[in-house]
Amino acid sequence: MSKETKRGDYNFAFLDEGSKREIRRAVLHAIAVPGYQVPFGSRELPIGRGWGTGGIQLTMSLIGPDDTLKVIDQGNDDSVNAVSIKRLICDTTGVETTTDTARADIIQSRHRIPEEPLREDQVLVLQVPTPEPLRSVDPHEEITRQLHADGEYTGIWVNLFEQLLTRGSPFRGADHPVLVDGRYVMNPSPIPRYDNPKLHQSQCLYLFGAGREKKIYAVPPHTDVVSLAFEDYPFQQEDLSGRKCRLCGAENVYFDEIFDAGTGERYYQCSDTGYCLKRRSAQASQEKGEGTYE
Amino acid sequence: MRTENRFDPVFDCQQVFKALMNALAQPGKVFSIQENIRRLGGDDAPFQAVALTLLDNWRSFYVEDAPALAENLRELTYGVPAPLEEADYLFFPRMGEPGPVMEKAKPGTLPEPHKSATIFLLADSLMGGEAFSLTGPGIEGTVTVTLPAPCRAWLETRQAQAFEFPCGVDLYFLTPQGQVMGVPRKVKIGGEG
Repeated sequence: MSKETKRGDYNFAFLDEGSKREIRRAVLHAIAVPGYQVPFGSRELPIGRGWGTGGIQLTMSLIGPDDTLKVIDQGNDDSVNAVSIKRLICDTTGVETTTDTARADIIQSRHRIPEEPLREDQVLVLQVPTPEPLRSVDPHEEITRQLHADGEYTGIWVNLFEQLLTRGSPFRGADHPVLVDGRYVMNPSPIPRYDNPKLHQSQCLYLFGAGREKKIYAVPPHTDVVSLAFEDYPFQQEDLSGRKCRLCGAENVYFDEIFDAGTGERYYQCSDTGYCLKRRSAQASQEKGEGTYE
Repeated sequence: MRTENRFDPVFDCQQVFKALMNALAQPGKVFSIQENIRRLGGDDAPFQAVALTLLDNWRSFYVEDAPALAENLRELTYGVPAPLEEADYLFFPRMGEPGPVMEKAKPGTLPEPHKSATIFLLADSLMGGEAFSLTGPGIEGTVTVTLPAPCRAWLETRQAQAFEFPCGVDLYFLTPQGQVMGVPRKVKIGGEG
């Protein structure tokens, strides 16, 4: 069952079995209480805290030798953070990696949920910098824990209202808080608001890991996740109308904006590079196929 | 000495955990740890596999009416034996009436609901009973299950206990063949299926 790994001097998936066990116990509690932040003893990793250590620890505890892994950073499969994390996991597990969302068993992501809908047999692991939505309300863990216990979220509503008064919109650019299963307010990690609705009644299991803050939480499949909004200010995603990916032509997806200082032009391209690549490959093979028939 | 089919503390535990995780995330569905418990052998294999995956000297456990199994799990995992009221993981090798278990098992506290008990029950089978439905997180609408009457009795007793969410206890049903079904605390019996 075991696979040859490049770093045979480490245990499979880097972490020792005791650490994995603790993380696994926390994951089970997190699934049982959707949206609740389970504390855990975050381990030292060969990567600085705040650079995805929560996600890595979750992935390391979940992954088996036959799994296929995808790691993305802001939607990008090839960014430094994603490549480094992938390399660490692959060197200590020997698993296959992919950029194709549909092929992956475990997807670790920083700040994006892939465009392609995920399935029940897939797990999306999100890296979380600030798991506590009430941290701006009170800096003390003991107090915020009690506020969660009481379901006392007035502070968050006041924050959003203040934001509405001062900035004209109650919505945060990223990490806009959500209510999970009618009970816990949760930070969905700094995903754009565009991705918030993907958490609602999804097919896959979402796991959130905050290594620096030592918290794990989860949203199981088919769970209600509602973005916080006021009656007269219903939740709105970013306005992406009129934009088109310059590479694959996709519309109504989340874009990266590229500014050409020389010409002053703005370009858009899919933030999810795996999705964009898949579309372009399909387009290319379609053109090729059509060419053959002609 | 290593034997060919020995239960591997790294790879088998990973697979057992994945089954437990999926079972809790998708209540009412049956997952399998058959291959893993085959490597352990014996009647207690389902509990041993779960204990090896979840227990160590940081967690306490309780085994109902099976001192030999309790000693075996302690030796295997260094888990700390504890009374029913204090244990983190409760193992019931003979599924009897729930009795006062739900009253006694620790449900966690409102600020710390993760300090609650998880109960593992060994059932002869996970089907063959009267159909009923479950609802809650992890379930798309409702799911119809045919758990045997004793299993349903445990679910009904837990529901009757009416823990204030997020407090509560999580239940797992196991079979000697290695089937696993999870029913987390927020999943309720939702009427006849």
